[in-house]
Amino acid sequence: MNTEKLYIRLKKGFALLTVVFFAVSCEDYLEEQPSTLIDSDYIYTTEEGLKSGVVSLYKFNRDRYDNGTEDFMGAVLMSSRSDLAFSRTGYTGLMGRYERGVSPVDQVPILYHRYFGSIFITLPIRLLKSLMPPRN
Amino acid sequence: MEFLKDASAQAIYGSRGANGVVLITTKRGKSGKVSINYHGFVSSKSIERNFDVYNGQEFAQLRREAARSNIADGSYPNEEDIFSELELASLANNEFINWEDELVKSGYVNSQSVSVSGGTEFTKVFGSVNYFKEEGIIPTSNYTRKTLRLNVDQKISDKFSVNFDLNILNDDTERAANVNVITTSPLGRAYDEDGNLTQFPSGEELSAVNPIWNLREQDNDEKGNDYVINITPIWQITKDLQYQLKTNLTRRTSERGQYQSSLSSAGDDVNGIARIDNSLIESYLIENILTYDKAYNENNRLNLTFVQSSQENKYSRTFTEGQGFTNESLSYDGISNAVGNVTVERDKNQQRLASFMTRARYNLNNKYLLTATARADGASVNSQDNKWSFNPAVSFAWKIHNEGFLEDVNSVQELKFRASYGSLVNDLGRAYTSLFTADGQNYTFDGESFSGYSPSVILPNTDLKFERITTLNLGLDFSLFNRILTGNVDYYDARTTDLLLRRGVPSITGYQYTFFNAGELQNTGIELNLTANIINNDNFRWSVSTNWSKNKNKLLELYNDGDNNPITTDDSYGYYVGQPVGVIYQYEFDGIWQEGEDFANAPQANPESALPQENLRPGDIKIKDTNGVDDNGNETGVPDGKITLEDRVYKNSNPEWFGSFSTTIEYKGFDLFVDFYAVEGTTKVNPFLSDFNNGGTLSGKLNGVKVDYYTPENPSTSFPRPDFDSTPLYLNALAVTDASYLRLRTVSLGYTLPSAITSDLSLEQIRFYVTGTNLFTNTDYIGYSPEVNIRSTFSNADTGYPDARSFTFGLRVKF
Repeated sequence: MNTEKLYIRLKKGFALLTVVFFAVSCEDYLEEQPSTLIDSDYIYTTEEGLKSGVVSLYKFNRDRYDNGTEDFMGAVLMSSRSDLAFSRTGYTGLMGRYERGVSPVDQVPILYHRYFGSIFITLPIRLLKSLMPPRN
Repeated sequence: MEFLKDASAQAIYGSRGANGVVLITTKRGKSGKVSINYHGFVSSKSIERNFDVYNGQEFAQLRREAARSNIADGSYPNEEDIFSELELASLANNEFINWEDELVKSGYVNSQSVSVSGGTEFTKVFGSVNYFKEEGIIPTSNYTRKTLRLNVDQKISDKFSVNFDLNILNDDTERAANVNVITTSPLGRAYDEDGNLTQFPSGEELSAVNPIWNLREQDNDEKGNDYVINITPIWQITKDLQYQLKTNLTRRTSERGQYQSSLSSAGDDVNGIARIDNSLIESYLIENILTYDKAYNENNRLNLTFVQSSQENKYSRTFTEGQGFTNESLSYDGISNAVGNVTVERDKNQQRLASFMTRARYNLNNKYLLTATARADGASVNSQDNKWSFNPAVSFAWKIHNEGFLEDVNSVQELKFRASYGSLVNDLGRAYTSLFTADGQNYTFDGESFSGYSPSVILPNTDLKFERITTLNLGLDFSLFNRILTGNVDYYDARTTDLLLRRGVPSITGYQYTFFNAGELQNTGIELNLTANIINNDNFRWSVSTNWSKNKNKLLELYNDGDNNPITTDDSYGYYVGQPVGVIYQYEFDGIWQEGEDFANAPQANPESALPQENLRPGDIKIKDTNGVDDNGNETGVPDGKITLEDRVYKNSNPEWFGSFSTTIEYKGFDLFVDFYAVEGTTKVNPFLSDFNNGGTLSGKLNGVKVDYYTPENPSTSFPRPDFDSTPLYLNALAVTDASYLRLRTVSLGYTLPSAITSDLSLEQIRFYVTGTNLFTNTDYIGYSPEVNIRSTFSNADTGYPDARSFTFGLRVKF
């Protein structure tokens, strides 16, 4: 093989590679395009989306029971995901004024747990039963 | 291996190297004779602990005491009320289960590798294969790995060359189910009278499942394949100008299968759980590097480098879970036969980095080295308007030994002063947190499914940007007395601004948390490395090395509240201005309340305390009243007779210093290496003393680490009275303990056969060695290791694995 020709070919090849890889770094390169999440505008700007938003509220309430995502306030905050209404008084009122209920789990139990030990541990029910006097 | 710590040296790696760079240069072929190397070793591993658990009688007594503490007249409860029939039988026969004997065995490692290298002037090749197998300390935990490495350096002409690297890895992991060696009750029996495994060793009414049973009823396997390809063409354009294209392609595919049968605790309620998890990691890195390197004369040299790089990391995963199996013989491979709930999850994300870097270095008279770097870094995870940042760095080094005034000083071989200042950036490392996204939340009404969508749980931050680390580094390298004493000392002050933090948001917004930039963190420290080559001749060599580091970490600033007033504490994420990150902020343990003390005036019993203990009694934990609050809510620093949140004290969890000390002795064919490692002044919250799931709450329900607990007959001053119903108050304060330690990390003795014998066997070198690892640890911290934090043993995640003590025998042969 003619060495000179090889040089020229290699030089051309390198020049091409350089161009290709410099060209990659334009503005679009850093744009984010999620592939498993949709744009949340869908929920607020389309009829279908608004309906789907309402459906999701039911899902969250069910999750409290299904997944145990209980935050100790489930009973008073069944629709905490709704921004349509909140109570102005009592404990839920504190949440409305952002003074309580910092997610995902209310801070009070977190602090309690951290500083005063785990008092929220549920005892094994069977063990509790065994502590009771025998029935017969 | 090479470590780059100062800002200027790291600058060429950009945000990938913001926390330091470790350069590992892989072996490459050399031209000339073909060389073949064999290296094989076997290790045995065993677990190290510095505590006992309660034996059967002791555990029974703990439960009696725990139950008794809730009986008003202080009498013991009836045995039948607190023990099951099986437990009573166990106590009557004095036969107990030693779970450690049942569950823990010694682990075993076998590693075999062979490499071949050689080459001609034009082609150099290095290839190696390795087989590695580890049988874990817990039965059914195994790991096998096979690797192939092939490096080829091909010279095409005087000006062109190309390097090819290929790494292929195949691994196979078998994970054990969570095993509660410490917490499972010793009362009862692991096997019944016919020798069959029992499901409930202490009786069905106590519901605790035999850990060996759970091991048998679970499969958890992961198989992975990795490949890494590097191709680097090099073009020497002129004598001084070089162009390199570095390309890297990495892939990892893995499949994880898990089955928890209907007889395991997890799969019990739903008749078996099968999970298949497939993931794919793809990444590439492309760097265009142009270097101009001009030597004007022997002592003056200019080096200019331009780098453009782009990097992409992609991750995707499909997770399928099926519940409910009538026939369980297919394990997780029968997932398609699930009759219960089926869940499918799909995750995918992509992160990209791009950067441009230019660097100039000048070596003036071989005395002064000047470097200036400028780089622009962009990251896709930043918000729309904050993708890019500009990061300069400068450094200066002065080779003092080349100055005239040191030329005649024979005791100084090297004396170099270094100074550098510059900044680097870190991105969040998590995609899509600045975008408004939504995910699916379907719901079933009257048996019909409806599509639901709701905004994702992370509140998007449209201002998200890099955090910036600006580092000042001063250092001195020296080599003295004919290189008998060499070493370096470094000082650094690194400030991280616009810290990437996570903060909870009120749940009424519908979001859970957000990521944001705020605050400033300071790290200052000193590092010292010293090596003394005390004796150095052909037959006998002795050297001693030490390194010592002290780092001080301090949060200087946090963020402002809605009224623009600075917030100085964030209890939920543990940020406190003026304190290190990770600081423990906890009440101060002050002993155990004893009979006859002044309970009426105890601050803990004060109704104005945060948690007033009206029924404070002997055996409760005593907390120090360290601080007070005046009428305006300001802290006074004076005890105020009540225990409030202000009485908590800070304990640094970061070590005061850490260091190692090692020595190497070589005599004729023998070599000995000994290495000590010490960590001083670190504090941890010990889960074995405070966490229910780790048996730390003295409830008598779970077994745990044996401690000297309080009873009316044994008035302990170090641990409280056991309580069956509730965890002793302030137990976490008691668990804040010193975790400093001194460890004999390595002792290794090797012998190389004399070359006379080796050459008779037509071999180049034969070396044997024995190594002991983690042979001895001196610490007050109770646990398997002061280094590893055991996670909650009830968590689904893999439990923190304690570092093992191991003995290795190895053989190296060069052909």
